[in-house]
Amino acid sequence: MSKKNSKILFIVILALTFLSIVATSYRYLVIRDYEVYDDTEEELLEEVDELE
Amino acid sequence: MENIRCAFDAPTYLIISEEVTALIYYSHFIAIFAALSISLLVFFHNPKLLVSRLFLVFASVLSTWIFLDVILWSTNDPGIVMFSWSMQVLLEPMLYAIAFYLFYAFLYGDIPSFWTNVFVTIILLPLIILLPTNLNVDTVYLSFCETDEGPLALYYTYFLNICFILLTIYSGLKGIKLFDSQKKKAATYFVVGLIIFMLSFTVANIISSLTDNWDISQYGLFGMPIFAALIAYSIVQFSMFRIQMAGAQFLVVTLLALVTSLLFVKSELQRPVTIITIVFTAIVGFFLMRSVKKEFTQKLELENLTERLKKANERLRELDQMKSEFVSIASHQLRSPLTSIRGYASMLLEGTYGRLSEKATQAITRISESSQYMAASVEDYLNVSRIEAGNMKYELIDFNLKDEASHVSDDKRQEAIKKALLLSFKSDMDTHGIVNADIGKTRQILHNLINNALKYTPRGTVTVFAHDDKKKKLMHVDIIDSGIGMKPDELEDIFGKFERAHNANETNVTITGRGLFVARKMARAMGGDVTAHSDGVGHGSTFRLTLPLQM
Repeated sequence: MSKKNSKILFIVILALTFLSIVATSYRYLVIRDYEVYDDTEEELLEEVDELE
Repeated sequence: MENIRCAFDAPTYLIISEEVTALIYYSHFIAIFAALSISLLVFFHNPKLLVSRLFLVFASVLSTWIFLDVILWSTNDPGIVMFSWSMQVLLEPMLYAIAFYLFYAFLYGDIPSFWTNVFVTIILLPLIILLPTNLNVDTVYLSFCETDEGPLALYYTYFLNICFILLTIYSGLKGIKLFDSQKKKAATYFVVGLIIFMLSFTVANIISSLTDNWDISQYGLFGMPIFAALIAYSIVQFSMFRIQMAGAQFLVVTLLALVTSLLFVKSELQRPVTIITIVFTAIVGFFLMRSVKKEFTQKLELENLTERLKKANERLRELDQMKSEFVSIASHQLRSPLTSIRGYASMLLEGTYGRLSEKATQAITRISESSQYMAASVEDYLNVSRIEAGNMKYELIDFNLKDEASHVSDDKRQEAIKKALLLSFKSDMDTHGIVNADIGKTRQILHNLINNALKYTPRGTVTVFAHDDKKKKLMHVDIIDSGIGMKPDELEDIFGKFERAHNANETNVTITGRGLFVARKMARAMGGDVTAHSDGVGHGSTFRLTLPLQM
């Protein structure tokens, strides 16, 4: 009985993991809902400072 | 947002980029090749084994994590970075969880208890649910295409890793007393593999995270093949798999991976990469060569021994046959003159040739007794050669074994009285005691057993006890003596062809040890047995004749 329950538990966690992966890919790959910070200039200035 | 890209060129085929150093491809692809090839090898060796399946799942998840890492090094797409980074956050604790299940299955051959599974589910739930949120990864920085890690990725994953490590250690310690030395050895390989995995994978990641230098994390991946090889070794060793074969196949795959990875090597990294390649190949090659050489030498020795054993066996068979033939011929030739001696001695004693003086009568009586003993010995020798040649014939009929045992006891009573021994017959029967066997051979067995008892009992009693076991449908005749007894380790030896009790000389008996051999062989041929029991030297012996009972 406990083995059967464990099996159900694994199926539930696998299903949730699958849904979570789908949601993550939908957010970042499909609707591209994320913040972008352009720090290229800051990095360049830092490199210049280091060189000086 | 779709057109925003990080400050370097896009890779081709998602992973091939000029921006990525060759060492990254080198470290990552070796790990993927090693993990997948070894796990597939183990899986196809025994696909039904839970541990083989879990190892394949583990290697697949590990390979996915490593592949995502290559993508992260190569891509300039912030969306792909966010997704791959999130997946890595998810897969890392998952790897530790699978490692725990793998270890558990390896030790106990099963999955952990239901409540352990509930605990694992509960602690994994926040990670799964919060994966697509900003608590996991946040903002992408365009200079190096990196993200800000939230509390889920920064703290919760490490908490999960520690939980699974503790669960693994606990499950190992819990069962350590139950394991034999072989399993303990295999478990040690497994644990060492796991420690290398934790050190190479986690420590490198933690150092990278703390120093913000992610170049360090790639060196950790060099521990992956060692980890995979150690775990595979422990699995296959315990399943008695031929590790040499696994080693040879692994070497081929590794060489392939190494050669492929060299394609990515550029001038500034050529030397260290080549050195690592040579060292790694040399180590694997050395161990492989050593084990193959050892196996080859053992095989040669084994073949040599088998050949010698075959020849020795053939020679032994020939000698045994020659001996049987010799005994048979000699016995037949001895029997005729013996019959004459016994006949004439008997006639002399009966007075056929006139009245004899007292002294002459005594001498003739000795001749008669000795010739009788000799005739019995010759008969025994003939029986041995008949049994060995498979020529012994049995005429099975129904008869009363209890009565036969009683008659043989009566026959032997005079002999017992001469030796001042008390020979008695007892019975405790629920049935009539009818057995289906050869009556002549059964009588001979009883004679042999009672003779034996009389000869090995210097003083005291010999009891013949007939009883039955209705449940098992068996009839037993026990010959219980108060004689010299035997050590427990002699009980089976005395049924050998020419064996006698080690302390037989103490009683000055003149038997050659064929009686018990013949008795047991005959009893077994009739579906029964002759067994012996003794409480030790000086405590007497019990010999039991068992025959199947006719209900």
